[in-house]
Amino acid sequence: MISSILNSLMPGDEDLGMPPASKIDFHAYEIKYGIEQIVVDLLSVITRISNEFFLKDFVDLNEKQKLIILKEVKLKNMRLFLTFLEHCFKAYYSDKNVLLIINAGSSPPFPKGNVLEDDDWNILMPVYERGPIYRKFNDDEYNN
Amino acid sequence: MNDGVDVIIVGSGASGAAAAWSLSRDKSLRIVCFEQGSISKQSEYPSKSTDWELSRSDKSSFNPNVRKNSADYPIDDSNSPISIANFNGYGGSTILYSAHFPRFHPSDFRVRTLDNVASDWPLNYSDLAPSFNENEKMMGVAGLVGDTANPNYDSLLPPVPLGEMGREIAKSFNKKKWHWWPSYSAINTSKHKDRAPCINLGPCNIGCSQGAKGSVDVTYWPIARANGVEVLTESRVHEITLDSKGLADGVKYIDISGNECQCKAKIVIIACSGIGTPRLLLNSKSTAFPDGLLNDNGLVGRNLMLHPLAYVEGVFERDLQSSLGPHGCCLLSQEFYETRVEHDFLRGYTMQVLRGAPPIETAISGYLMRQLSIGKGHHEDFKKLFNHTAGIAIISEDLPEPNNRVELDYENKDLYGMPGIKVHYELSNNSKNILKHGIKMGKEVLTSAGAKVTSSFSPVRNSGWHLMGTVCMGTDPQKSVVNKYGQAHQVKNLFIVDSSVFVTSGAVNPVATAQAITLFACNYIRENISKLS
Repeated sequence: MISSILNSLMPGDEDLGMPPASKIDFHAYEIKYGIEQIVVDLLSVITRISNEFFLKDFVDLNEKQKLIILKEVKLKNMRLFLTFLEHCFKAYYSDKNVLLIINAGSSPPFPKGNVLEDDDWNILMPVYERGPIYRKFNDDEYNN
Repeated sequence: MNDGVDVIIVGSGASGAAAAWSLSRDKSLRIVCFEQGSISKQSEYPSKSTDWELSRSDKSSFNPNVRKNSADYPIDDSNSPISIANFNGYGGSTILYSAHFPRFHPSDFRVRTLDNVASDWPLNYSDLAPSFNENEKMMGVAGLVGDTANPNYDSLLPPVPLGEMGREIAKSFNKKKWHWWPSYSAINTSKHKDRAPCINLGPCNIGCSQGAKGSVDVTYWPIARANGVEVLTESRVHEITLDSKGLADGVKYIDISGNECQCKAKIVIIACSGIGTPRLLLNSKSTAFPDGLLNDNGLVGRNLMLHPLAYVEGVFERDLQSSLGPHGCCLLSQEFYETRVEHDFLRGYTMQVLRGAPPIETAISGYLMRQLSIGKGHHEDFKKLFNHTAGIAIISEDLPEPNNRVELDYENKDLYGMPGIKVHYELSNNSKNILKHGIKMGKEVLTSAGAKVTSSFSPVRNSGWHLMGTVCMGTDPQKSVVNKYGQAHQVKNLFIVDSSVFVTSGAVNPVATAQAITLFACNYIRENISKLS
């Protein structure tokens, strides 16, 4: 069921080459960050609401129905929903493969870092030409 | 430690490290630094792994109430719109800072004379100029000489690269004929003093695993320790003690094993930050100072200044690779730094252009700001945001207000029973007007650069890094706690050298000025050491 929820939140996008969220190791993340209870609570709320709405378990719903349920969960238990969603984002966007696809630059452990091209500091000419703008005054007068 | 030492330094952060190095040049001195936190290992910084962003809400959080390290003390900031940020450990908050390193302006030291507000400092820019230069060489500061908004610098390392996003915004400043300049950053843009150059990894503020960021554990401390300074980590000073003549004679501390200990010294220097320093003073009660050490005039803990921050964010249509490069440092504008007659506020602010958000932050804030959906359109939305965003932080000059203060919190104590801190702080109308103006100008810059402004707000809650003013310097012992050398008016061998001595806050990150003040004070200590004890 967790895979089904993850995929409803972040389905894959073939055009962009993005994998669905179920392709990342969410279970490992869940254990590493100790969020098992959050997952249990969310599954319980989702199961209850999908049965109330459609008399079916979440996994048996179509995509449109699943999104209706997730919106309802958000409305009825916003804190739990947002906490879970935040963890989904954290798990997904810290996955090495995902970081590579979204072009997040050099990925840890950072063998080489990122190259930023050299600047042409002639871009500062308008600032130079205006001259000093800081406040000048005879500080000796006020010296203690 | 029973035989006593020449100098005790409390706190190993930006100022404590600079003090240790400066005084260690006199090899005849036995110097001991007490640090309540432990040593962070470069090899263990979170930026070594792909989930580094998660550490910001965990062990690398800059909020001590989230981080909850054993070295942290409770800070109740529920009575403040800005929460306190710090790091208690070897190197202090420089471990987690973004390494912004601008100097105060000459006018910052003369606000009473020039603008009829707050007080003038008992020293001026020229007094500090040699120390600014010396400090920048030690820390390794990148930037560009010739800035029209500041007096000239001696020399700097090459500036941090602007990146494509920075260049777009720079062009926008040019279009508006406003000042801008590449950031002053304590970042090695080339190899400097045996430290590796920056390779634009990004997350400077969770600890630099490359060692390119100028945190004092890799700048001042290696030299100070080679010169013989001893550092006792995980040793928590809870009281400065006085002798029968009213001179400081040492400290009481809890050692690494939890034992109550005492160390005697001829000179005591405190460098625990704008909240740690007043906390220690207020906790050091005696018959001579029943309300806390040096607090006979009731000023210790008062006039807390925090640099209220505003934030404006824009999204560009084009992918500008904006998340690459040192996250905090790109460029700054000081167009509105100085007082102007047409403004409805005194003094002013700096605009700092920040890099785009990293992936997780992009997703979370994008969702909360309703720019990113869940379901089918998620990835398309994400693609439009990630590496397309730019942020502008408005750092406003915060003027001293006696009611903005820290006091001991006897209800919340640290591991060993020392009271925590309670913060009482509110924004003045002047600060509110500065922030309002800054947001308006920030929006203009982003719009003129072709970005769509997606969010703007102030004050930013999690931004209380700059802790200033709580033990202020001055010439009048009735209106200040220490003199221009950080020397306590009432206890001549006790010195305070961190940003708590600031009279006003300027509108730039305080660390360069705090360290310059430290070096200035230590020159005085070295020259007068025989007369001080």
